[in-house]
Amino acid sequence: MDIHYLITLVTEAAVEHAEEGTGGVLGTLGINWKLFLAQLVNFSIILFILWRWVFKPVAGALEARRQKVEESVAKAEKIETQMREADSEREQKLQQARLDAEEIIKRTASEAEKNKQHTLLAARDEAEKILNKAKQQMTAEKQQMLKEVREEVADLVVMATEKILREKLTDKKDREMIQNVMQEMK
Amino acid sequence: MIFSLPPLAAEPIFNIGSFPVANTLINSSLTVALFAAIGFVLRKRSREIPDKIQNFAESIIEVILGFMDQVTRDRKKTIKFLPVVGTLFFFILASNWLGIFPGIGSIGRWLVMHGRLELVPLFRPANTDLNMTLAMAVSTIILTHVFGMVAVGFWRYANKFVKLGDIVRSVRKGGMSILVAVIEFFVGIIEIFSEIAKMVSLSLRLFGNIFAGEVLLTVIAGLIAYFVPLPFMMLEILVGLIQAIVFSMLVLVSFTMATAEIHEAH
Repeated sequence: MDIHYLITLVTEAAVEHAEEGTGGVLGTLGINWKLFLAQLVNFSIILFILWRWVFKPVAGALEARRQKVEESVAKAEKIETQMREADSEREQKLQQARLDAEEIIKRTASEAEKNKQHTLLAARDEAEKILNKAKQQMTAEKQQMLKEVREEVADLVVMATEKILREKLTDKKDREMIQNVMQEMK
Repeated sequence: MIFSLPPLAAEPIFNIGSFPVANTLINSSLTVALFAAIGFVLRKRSREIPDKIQNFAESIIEVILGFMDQVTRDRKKTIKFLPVVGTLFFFILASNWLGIFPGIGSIGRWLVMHGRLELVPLFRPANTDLNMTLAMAVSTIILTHVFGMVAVGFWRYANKFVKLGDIVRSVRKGGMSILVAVIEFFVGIIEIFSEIAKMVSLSLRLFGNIFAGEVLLTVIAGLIAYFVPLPFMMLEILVGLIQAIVFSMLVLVSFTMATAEIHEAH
């Protein structure tokens, strides 16, 4: 056998090399080709069998699992998005309601203020009016009273004068006085 | 036969300094590199809707979590133990299945072994090395005790094995309970040995199964190299899975038992 002889030669050389300690690992590497080929063939068959009857079903099951995971993740994401949307919508509505409420309160407050001012003004007017009226009335009454008093006094004076004069005055003197008064009045 | 049976011990392929790199170490490093790559890819691409790789990983994790829940009966514990148990499972599984790959056992280096020239395989399933399985068993059992101490406290946990506390308590009580406590003390010593036995059984089971599988495949391939090994390879795929499950489940069981509350029965 040519090849065998060659192999033996090579290996002998390699071993010598190795024994000298200079050849390194590579020099002595070898392959048992017969065994290696047998292993290769057998392993290929094993691999084929496993591929055909083990890996494929397993791969199918795995793919199903993967899809399930993918689906559930997608579903979860969808639900989350929906929830977030609902949340934001709710938030928006709340915000709107808050704004509305504020607006209403503000408007009511301003209206109330206006009303108050109005009422206050009206009341003041009314009070002033009443006051004025009272004052006028008082003045008028005072005038009236004064007038009456004056008349009364004049009457009294006339009466008193008359009494006094009737007793003291004579006709002559009366005439004189009347004349005097008439002169004064002229 | 066209090749020799794998020896019991892994063969060193080359040395880094004085550190011999065995062919099983090369394989386990390959597995580590594979997981590092997967982890890196998954870390970068993880998102809410999984793509194919992430989906695959997620569904596997789901199944594993379900399995683990059945043992721990507590999701919190499951989540706590998942990093260790899951890593063990995946590492053992990948290392075992890597053994069926072509090139494992046939690509090698010509070295002088036992006085004659042999093609020493460059790759050899990591769990066909007792060092590998023993390292995993010892470290996980040590971790079991660490978990136990953290969960129930150092003294209470130590009392599981060296039951001096129980003896002191029973002397106070007096009567028959002293005798019971003495017997319990020896049971505690047996517990210590059972922990060592756990390491041995864990490591030997995995090593034995995978190594035997490798030998079986080699023998069958030596008889008829083509097609006949197929059923045995299928069997090896199954055995690889089962052994990975067995190893990680046993580790999980001991984790769960160590972290369980100790009932003060006596």
